[in-house]
Amino acid sequence: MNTPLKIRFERRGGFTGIPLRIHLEEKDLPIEAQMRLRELLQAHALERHSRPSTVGADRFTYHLTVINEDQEHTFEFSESEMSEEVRSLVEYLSQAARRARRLS
Amino acid sequence: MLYCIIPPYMLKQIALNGSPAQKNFALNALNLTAQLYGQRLTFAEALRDLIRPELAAEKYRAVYHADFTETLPGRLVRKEGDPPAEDIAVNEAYEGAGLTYDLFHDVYGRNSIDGHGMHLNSTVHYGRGYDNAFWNGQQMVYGDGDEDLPPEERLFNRFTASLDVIGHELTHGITQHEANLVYFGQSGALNESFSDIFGSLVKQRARSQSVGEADWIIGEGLFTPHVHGVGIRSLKAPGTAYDDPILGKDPQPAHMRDYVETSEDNGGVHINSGIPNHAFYVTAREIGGYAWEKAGQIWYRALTSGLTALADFKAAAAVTYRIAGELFGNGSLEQQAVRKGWQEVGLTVDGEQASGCLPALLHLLGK
Ligand SMILES: [Zn+2]
Repeated sequence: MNTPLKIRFERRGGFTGIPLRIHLEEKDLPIEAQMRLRELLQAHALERHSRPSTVGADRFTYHLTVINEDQEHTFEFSESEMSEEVRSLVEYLSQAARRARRLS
Repeated sequence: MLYCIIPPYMLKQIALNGSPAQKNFALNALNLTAQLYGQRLTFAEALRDLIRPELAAEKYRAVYHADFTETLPGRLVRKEGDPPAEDIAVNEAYEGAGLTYDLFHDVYGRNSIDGHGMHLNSTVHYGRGYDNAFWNGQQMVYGDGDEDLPPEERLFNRFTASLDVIGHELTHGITQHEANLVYFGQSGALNESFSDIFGSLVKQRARSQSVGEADWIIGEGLFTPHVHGVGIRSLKAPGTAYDDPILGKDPQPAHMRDYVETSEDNGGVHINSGIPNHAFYVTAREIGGYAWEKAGQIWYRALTSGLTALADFKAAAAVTYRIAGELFGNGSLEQQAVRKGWQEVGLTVDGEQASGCLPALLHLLGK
């Protein structure tokens, strides 16, 4: 059995420049998102983090920190260059963070 | 006085016979002269159409619907000349792009984003719960805010709701085709600032508001009533646009002593833009009247023929000061207003001795 992961997620930039953050545990994610995250970690797909986009303006960047026991890895994605797999995870985390900020 | 040694007849000769850059310079000067004297622009316009046929092209807008996906551009829903759609976001994107085009065309003599009649493409209903608008290098894109959340949880409305947001995004396109300010640190904050400034000027001109009448707010109407704030940024009073228990406080500085050193958001491009934003506001306030006429002209010229990609705030101060001297004369009220604008945010204009009319003419003639 895997040790449960802890997750810190942050969205930066955008027209407003107002950051969006959430801390959660793996179990807070729906099963599908948990599986997606594990797959991405295993495939080292998150390591291929994209460089900041040099085209356009007011785009978001996403920062995902995954804490596995005492190991911590941070991945950075720019909105314009995410794979579909990363995009769907980021979409879920963004929505969770937008909901949490209203309810907090 | 304006172009004290470049009389209109000489400008007309340059406009007809000069290099493209010289023509451009002369046409802008003629335009400005006509405006300052309250004349109609018919002569300058006729001349422009004569020597630059591409400028005679009409503006062309197209609005696409992303159907809540992140695929661009999406499905075409309204193009130039079509009657209004049922969809309010479509109409806002269409009208807003038109009003922005008009400011740059009618006041600064520019034909669209690239100066050559580039089509103004916009996509609305981008993504789900997408509380943002952006320029992707080719077009404007708008999300619907928190439309995916229950109404009582929503903080953001659709991003086309605010005319200055549309002006802001389109101006990013112009910047890309002109100074091409690198989107990081001070050059990035200047890039943001030009978008806020011209975004605000689009709104002010559409409302016929003088410096004193305008609210100088960016993103008015983006927040739902759940947020304590009047908008996203304020050029008049950076740092005061919102103060909310959920979103926090507007972090913009209005002075160099409060410059924020950060690696986030490309080095705080949406934060430190407060400093040049406020310098523009103070300049416009000192000059008075309609901000797009004189202050806007100075900043437009800086963006299109003064600044380079890695310019910092100090360079922007020097260039706007020099241009104010070229346009209105050294020591003119307008040039002093520019100096005061930068002074109030903690930047002194020095080093560059503003070139007078003769150096300006020589520069124009490539001597
Ligand atoms: Zn921007």
